[in-house]
Amino acid sequence: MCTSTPPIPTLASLIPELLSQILLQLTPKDVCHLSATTHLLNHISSSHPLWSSFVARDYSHLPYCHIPHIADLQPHKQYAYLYAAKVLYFSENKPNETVSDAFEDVKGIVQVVPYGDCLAARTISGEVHLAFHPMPATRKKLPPKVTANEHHTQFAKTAEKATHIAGNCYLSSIVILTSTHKVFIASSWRNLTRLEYEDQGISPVSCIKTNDDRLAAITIEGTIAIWDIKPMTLDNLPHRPIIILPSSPTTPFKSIIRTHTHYTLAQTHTNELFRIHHNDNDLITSSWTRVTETEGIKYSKVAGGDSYCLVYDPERSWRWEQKREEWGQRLGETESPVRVFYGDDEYRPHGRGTYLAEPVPRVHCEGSSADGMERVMFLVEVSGD
Amino acid sequence: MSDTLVTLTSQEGKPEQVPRRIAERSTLLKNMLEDVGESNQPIPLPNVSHKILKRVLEYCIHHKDDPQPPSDDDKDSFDSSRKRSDDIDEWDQKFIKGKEEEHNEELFQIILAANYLDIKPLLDLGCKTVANMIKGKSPEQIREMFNIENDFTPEEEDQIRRENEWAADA
Repeated sequence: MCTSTPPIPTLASLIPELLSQILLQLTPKDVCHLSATTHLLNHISSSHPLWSSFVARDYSHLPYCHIPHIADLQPHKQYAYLYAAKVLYFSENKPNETVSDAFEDVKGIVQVVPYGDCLAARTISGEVHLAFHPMPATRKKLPPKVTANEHHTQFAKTAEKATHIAGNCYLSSIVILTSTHKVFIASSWRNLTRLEYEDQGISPVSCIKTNDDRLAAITIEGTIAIWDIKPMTLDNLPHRPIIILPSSPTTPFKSIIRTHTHYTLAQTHTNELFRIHHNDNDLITSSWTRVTETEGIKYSKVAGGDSYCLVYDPERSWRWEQKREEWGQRLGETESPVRVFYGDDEYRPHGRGTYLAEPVPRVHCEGSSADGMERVMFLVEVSGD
Repeated sequence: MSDTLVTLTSQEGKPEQVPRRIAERSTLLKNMLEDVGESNQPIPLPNVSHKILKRVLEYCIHHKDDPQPPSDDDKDSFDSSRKRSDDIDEWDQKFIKGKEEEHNEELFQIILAANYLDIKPLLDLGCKTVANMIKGKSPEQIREMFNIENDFTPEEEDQIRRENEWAADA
């Protein structure tokens, strides 16, 4: 029997499998700090099999505190995940294989949005990077790593610092809001175009949302200005908004959930949800209407599409509602706040109905439509913070 | 059968007798006992010191009536609590804390023993405890806490700091 005294184990001497289990409990920030302690922990943290959970789309094993960004990129069925400030693509046909790290050389990514079949990423320093998807014909020849020189374009690396980006799948364009409240529209085949609104007496923008050929922005006064950004106008954007919607009847708006040719859905800072009907030039309803079945319900997260609305109600549950004649018709409800119903069927975008177990401190979701089809994109952000 | 005593011998060769159902909290021991059937032969545990074995058994005795955790193969019944680190019950917290002066040393030995003996709840407890110790700490504080020597050059540290700026600002 061995009687010699073995070395005292330390954090760094734990086998990678055990360290991985510890990493699962940490926030990206904590992982960064841990990786900055020694070479060994740096290596383990950055080359960790945590990735395999994402690549395998096995959400039950997702670390509690990391950030997957799940974007259904039409029509190629490739998915991207924002994970600890890295972005991975993988193909539906290769569930166990990472197709590429879309922004391999880009550091400090804090926001990723899909537009068309591409992705745009915003960094903490305000840069915006684009990653172009290979077209279907060439997709099979996709190299194991998409190299920066061939597939990335960086722009807005000027005095302007991007503070928010919004993707427009319909126009294959990116809308960029800068720290000086300028708005730019960029696409993969056009130069950056600035939306100049100051001469219209509109105050700086605090939030942007783009759907189809509409761009909506919350002004500092709390109104919502909507521009028409049809493809033919992208090079010569109209300065004048087509309509300005009134400010919120209660607390100011914090976000625009959906802007459509006939209505706009917006959420206030106290998580109330309001809808207003309008056409291109006029208000159809003169004021905002609360979008709840019962007064007082405050949705913390909302996603909208052409004919659906996905809401996260922390006091009740996820509810998947469809816009019919009357808003608020409930089509499905579960006890779990993270199950989603589409129509009468459980929505299983990746073959799993349940994303993450309760409790979920922070949930983001985002709606979209592309090519006239109802699509939904989920950004499920879970954090132990 | 579950009331029979099983003899475990530690790294130092010291025997420790425990009821079989306590020993079976360890998947490793459970499988071994099932394989050998009825036997009075002691089971050697060369990777576990006597002191840590006693600590592990203390844990197993306290949790003897807990349901067995799902197996790794059973993904659908994956216990979501394993992803959280703020759900450690009071007894477990006291247990894993142990003696203040030996805390870190013993903690990692318990983690290794739990891993070796395949006692998932104890392994989770150890990993969650380490994670909780790391949370919110700077690299310097982590090094100090776990007595880790900084082997980065100042240039490397600078580079890592730049790479991690996004996290610092998050």
